[in-house]
Amino acid sequence: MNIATTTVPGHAGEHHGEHYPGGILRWLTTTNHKDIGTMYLTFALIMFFVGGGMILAVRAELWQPGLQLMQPEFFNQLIGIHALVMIFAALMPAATGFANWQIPLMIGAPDMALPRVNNWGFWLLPPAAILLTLPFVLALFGIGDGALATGWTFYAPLSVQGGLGVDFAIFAVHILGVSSILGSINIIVTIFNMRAPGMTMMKLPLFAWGWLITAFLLIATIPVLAGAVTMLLTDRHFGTHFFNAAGGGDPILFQHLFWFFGHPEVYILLLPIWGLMPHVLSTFSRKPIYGYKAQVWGFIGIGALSVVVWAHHFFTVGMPVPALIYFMFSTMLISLPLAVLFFCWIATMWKGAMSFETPMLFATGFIVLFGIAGLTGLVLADVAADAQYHHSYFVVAHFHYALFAGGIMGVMTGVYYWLPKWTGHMYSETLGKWHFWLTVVSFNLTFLPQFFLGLAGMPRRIPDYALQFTEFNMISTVAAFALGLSQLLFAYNIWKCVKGGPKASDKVWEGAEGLEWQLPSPPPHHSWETQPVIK
Amino acid sequence: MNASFTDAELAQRRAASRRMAWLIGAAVLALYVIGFFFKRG
Repeated sequence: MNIATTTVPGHAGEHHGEHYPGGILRWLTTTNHKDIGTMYLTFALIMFFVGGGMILAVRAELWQPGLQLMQPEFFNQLIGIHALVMIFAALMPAATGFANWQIPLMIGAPDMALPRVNNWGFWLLPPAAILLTLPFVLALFGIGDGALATGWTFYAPLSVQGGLGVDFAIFAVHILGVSSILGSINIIVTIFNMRAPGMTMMKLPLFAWGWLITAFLLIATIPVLAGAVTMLLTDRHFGTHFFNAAGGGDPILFQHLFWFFGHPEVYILLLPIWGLMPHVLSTFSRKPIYGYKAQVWGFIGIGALSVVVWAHHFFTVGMPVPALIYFMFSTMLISLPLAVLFFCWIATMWKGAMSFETPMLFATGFIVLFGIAGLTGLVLADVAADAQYHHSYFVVAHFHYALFAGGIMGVMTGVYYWLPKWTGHMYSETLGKWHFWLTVVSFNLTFLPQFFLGLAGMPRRIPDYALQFTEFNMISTVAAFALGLSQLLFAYNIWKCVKGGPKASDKVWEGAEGLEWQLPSPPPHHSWETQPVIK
Repeated sequence: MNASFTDAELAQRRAASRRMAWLIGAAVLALYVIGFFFKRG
């Protein structure tokens, strides 16, 4: 993309004689995309540690067979809330934080199109997170019976019969859904209406493309999830029987509705990362992005296919054979556009003058490890093989390769890539590299053994297990604690960078291309007061 | 040529965004509500 632009003079709060409040009031009332992006990212980081702490308690329980630390009911609660927190309160807000910070900068817009909606979108998150986690705290004081213990999938009829924690989670999911919808609408209308002159859709940065498809997926699927959990609520308290077989309902209907949302959700979590990767790979390979159009069509293809493959999550429930065959082949079909993306990422690096600063380390680590997620996903998509692997630790390992290596390591790539632009300071490269290597090694030691546990028949979501699974569980537990502790380096590096450090230049990275690098580091309070022109 | 974003142009872009936002919001609400009226075959 050939870009001409002017840099923008001025400093925060000085434009148009504008004054904005200081202290907490600034953050409560802000409509600035960068402030809101910062809040999303801070919230995501905090919840990442909350969700991580929960799963470390689970791993401690799984250190050896027998019940050591907790009762099975509490174990089940930790499993479900860990997933909900990581998905809805860590990964999704992190991606939305990226969108808030970067999309206006990348498309030459002064801010998001609907700044007040943007503020609401964020401030709905903390109450929802409190609703999710509050039942734990109440249970400590003898109130209620703890958080939902159904796993994050809310499967009926267990969720129809569950305790107060299910109601808390139902309300939390509704609020999180409204927040996601508001954010998605804002991103769509910003991309359609606020682009700089000359930025046609086929010149749109791939990160914005990835988010555009994500936003449409959220618009299409969140209402279905909200509908499903509303029906669950009425089954629980208002005498309906949507999912109660005894009353003429169908528990399997819940699985269909849930996974109609649940499978696209995987791509909702990953598409922003896939959009980010080409920028990082191109920057550190010092080469233009390879296959821009192919990647755009790859995003669109994956987005379209993602809403027609949901039933592969419950092949074993007893579906007609034609349905099994359809869902198997449609799921496998997703590997084609995904392979196009992988090919383009590798081709972008091919014969490039590569250097391996921390963002590039995370990006290449992402490609390798996410490749493992893709290949094991193909195995699970096979109906016959899935009969063996379903509900085993193989599935747990697979989706952590997808969502930790693919999602969270992708977020880390973005943080290291853009942090100098956001703060105006360079982070510590030494700490960043330590963080990368500790993360990659401990991640693999945590989850690779879980493939073998699954193949050997260990079921997921159990607090106790047979003796033959002990060694792999011990390795997994030790490595999980190492993985958790190494994330403290990440938090410390960010903190250090925010507080100070060597000054970052406007174009932080030598090979970086795009509008955002033509603004000062950090960018002024109003991003583009002067329209950039894209040739 | 680089030009400043005029207030009028920003207002026009934001108005278009609001219209589109209401349209998408209505679609979301319709998806949510219509689901309750489907019956199993």
